[in-house]
Amino acid sequence: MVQLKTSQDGITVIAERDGAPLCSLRDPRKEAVGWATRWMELQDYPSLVVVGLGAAHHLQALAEQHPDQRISVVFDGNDYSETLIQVLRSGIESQVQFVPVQNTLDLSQFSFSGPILLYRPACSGVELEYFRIICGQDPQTLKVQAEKLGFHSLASSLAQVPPGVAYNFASIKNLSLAPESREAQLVDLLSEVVR
Amino acid sequence: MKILALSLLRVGDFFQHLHLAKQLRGSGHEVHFLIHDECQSLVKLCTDYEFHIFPRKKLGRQLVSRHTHPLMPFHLLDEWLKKMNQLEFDEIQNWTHDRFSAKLMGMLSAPSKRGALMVQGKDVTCWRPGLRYLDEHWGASHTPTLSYIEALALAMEIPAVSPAPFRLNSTGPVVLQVTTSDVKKTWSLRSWIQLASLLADQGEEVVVVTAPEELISVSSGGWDSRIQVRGLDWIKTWDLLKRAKLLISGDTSVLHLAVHAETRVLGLYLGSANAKKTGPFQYKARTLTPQIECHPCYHRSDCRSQDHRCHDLITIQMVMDEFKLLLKCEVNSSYETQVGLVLAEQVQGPHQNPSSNIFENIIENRFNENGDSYGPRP
Repeated sequence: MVQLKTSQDGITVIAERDGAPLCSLRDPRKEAVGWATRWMELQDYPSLVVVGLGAAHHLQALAEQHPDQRISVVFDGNDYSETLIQVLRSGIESQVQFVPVQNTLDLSQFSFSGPILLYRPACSGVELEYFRIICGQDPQTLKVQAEKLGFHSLASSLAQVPPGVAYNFASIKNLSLAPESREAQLVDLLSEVVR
Repeated sequence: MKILALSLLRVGDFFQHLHLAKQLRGSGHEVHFLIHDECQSLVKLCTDYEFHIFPRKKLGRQLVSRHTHPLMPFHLLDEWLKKMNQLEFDEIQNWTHDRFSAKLMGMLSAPSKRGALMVQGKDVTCWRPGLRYLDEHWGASHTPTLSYIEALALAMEIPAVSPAPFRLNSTGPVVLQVTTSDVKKTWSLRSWIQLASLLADQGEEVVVVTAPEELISVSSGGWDSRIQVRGLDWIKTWDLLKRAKLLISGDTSVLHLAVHAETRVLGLYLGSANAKKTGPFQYKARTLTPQIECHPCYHRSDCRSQDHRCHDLITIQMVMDEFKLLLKCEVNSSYETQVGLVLAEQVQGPHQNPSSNIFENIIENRFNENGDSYGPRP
């Protein structure tokens, strides 16, 4: 379970999982601002998805840098008590949606509406797996999501991607989609975008 | 008619397309532009038209990003196409004339479509004579009879596109646009600095205009203290051009914008810049071009002689002489559109669509032949 403590300055809150810190012990705010600064170029997306909760300093920093964007944070709900979530939500609840996930099944219904950012210091092994799934690297979840979007031809072809190959535009492009399908036409047009 | 014009090249091409849009608008049509998100800053500049933005930059980023779900670009493009198709255009005209725009045309809905069109990877373009002229005569290896704007007007069957008029401002600054998109087309900074000083010696107010992101590099060139160097956005550049006496520029988007501001223009067409193709579309505009057998060279190849020797063939004295002529308005040659003549030539004989794969073949040939793309890239 994740617990909160104070950092070396005696003021700032830090988070630990089974004694292992989930953010910098010395200056978690500075670390969070440094992480958030990496995503300055994502200003034109309406929303962002973050995997990893920790002590939520990084979410606060991200929210300050992207005040007009909706942020969703995905984390292992089994690791955080309801009380702790309430504490971490304080001050950012209007902009950040907390998405506690109990198991991987929850993720197939997840709607990917923006870039997916990993806050690695806060992530457990389970959360790293969530990140992989949210990034579309799990064939079953990807198939469900493709069906949900109405890409039926793509959904039925996804099983053809060989094991170990990342699911990305290049691997999707190599699928044999029905030429008259909408997905085939989208692939054709998108290929010109990256030409 | 509600017409959507695909203008998916660079800013300079858009400013050239604006001549066609003005003509259509003058004939009572409602003209909408489709431009790339990289050209979004144009929306505030051209308030007479409706704009739609194709998210090319965003899609391009999503397609190569590790932080993006692989279905996200599909979803974004699919939603964008659905929204566009709800707008119910009467006609879509492809002013971009490349493979991407031809495929995009195929996915957009309208009762009438003009220009390059591909559906499910196949060319289904209706090859009218004007469009065939554009396609066959407008490659990098050809020197067409018509300018780009005239050829495109011919291809879209837009009648009587006339060169823009100009104002005779006796006051106002002389504006210099000293950079271009390509080193081959850019006169040396040393020459620009000397020219600016000479103009200032003659009592001219000289303003060097550049994009804000280029200001530091341009302003550090060692300019005379009388010369103002400004990094301006499009709106401020437009305001400056409207009160300018004259613009001296390479083949740039600012030059094509100045034409719409009715500012007199002197173009220095070096390297791959071809005055016959993308010269200023303005009555009595002047261009200086180097007299050397390799000019104009190809856009995508390096200078054959490596030292851009065509740059030295345009001297400061030549520019000053042209400048004086323009100020006195003693230029004899007027820009005369030749659309009528070529149309007459083109419409002779039966018009058959080219064989099924010709569009593909031409594209491939063009790319293989000289590495150049379809549209102009001033």
